[in-house]
Amino acid sequence: MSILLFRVFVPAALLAASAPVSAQSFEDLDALLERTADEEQGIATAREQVDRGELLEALATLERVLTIFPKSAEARFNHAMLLCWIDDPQGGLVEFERLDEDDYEPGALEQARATCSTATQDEEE
Amino acid sequence: MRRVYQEKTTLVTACLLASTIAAAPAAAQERVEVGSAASVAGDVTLDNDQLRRPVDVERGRRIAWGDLIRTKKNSQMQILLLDRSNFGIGQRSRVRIDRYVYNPNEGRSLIGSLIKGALRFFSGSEEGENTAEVSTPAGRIGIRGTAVDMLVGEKAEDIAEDEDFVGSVRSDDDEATFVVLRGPGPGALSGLTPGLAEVTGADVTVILDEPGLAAYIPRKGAAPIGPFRISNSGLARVQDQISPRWARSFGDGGIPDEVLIGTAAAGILGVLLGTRGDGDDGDQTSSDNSNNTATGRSDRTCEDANGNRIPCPPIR
Repeated sequence: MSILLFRVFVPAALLAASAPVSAQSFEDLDALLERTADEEQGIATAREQVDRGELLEALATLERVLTIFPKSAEARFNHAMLLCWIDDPQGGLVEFERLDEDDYEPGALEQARATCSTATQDEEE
Repeated sequence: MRRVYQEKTTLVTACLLASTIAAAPAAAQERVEVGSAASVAGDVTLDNDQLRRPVDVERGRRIAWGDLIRTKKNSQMQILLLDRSNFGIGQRSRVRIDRYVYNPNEGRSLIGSLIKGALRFFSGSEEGENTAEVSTPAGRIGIRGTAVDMLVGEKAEDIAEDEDFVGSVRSDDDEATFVVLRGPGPGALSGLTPGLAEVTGADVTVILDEPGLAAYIPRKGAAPIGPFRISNSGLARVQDQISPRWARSFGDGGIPDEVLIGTAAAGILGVLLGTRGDGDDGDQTSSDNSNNTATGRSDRTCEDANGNRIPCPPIR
């Protein structure tokens, strides 16, 4: 399980942030909703949104996933990390504290908590 | 500040009216659909003037102007609007989209109502001029390019009054309104525009301009209390109202101690920020302070009735 998925893709998002894609029709919405009805596809969609710099939309996508799959360890982790990346480290850390170490690779949560409050500055440099 | 805000509101209203006229449906009863039910969990219904009785909401259902969404305990839904803005509706909530106008080239105008419960708003496309305003029984929240959490009712009262900065105030458990800005902050990745929320009650506006800043309107006719930094436990409780299924999935029945430990420190930070109410100070309806604008930073100034910058008087 690639729980650190977004950490890998955020630098790409910084480069591609100038090309947002907006829905303009219900067909666009329906297509997006179809992709987020499934846990794996939903997380992949959020990852694509991060690639485009659409962090708030990625958060919303993960919240759709978590509504249907609330125990999704990957969605939980990445949701918390995205909060850190929109500069809400308090929100991210509150969510990280609820996660179970057993659901993740050893040290992953500890590392995430340690980097949360400084993630934005690190990526910007 | 209030004058500026009112002018802006008037402009938005005028634009909305113009757009409404331009886009007026042939039949007065025709639905103006603005988005879709993106996710639904639990008991969620929709009602409007055209329906004889509320109908269950399923994923993919179109949402239109005037639709009243109701969620029951442990239920939630998300509405995805055409510009990809999102309404995340929490449990035991009543939410209505009163007006929504979107032009991909020009932007989006949104007016909604949070009558009860919990609501999270994520703004969508940053293209064009975008405005959003959510009314509650006690006030209104102007939203600019942001993620913001809003609570109305008993839970708003419970959570707010557990914050050291708010303490015990005279609240109405049908009207109490609690608002927390979640981001983006100035350090957000991807060059996102920092978010901002203007919380207005009794003609007093409090500005939330940093993630984690909160404001509380205890009842209709009262000024907002704040801004103050929400505690970790308060933030976790807000999250539980907005995402009850996520919260219940942990099966621990409560907020972990690690989250609660941060409460005291956050409370101390709150004392250093903005204004606070004590006792019955929520009634800021006199003309003397009706134009106050409190902000999250001590170096901000307020404006008088003529728009001149003046030092912010303390709210007592």
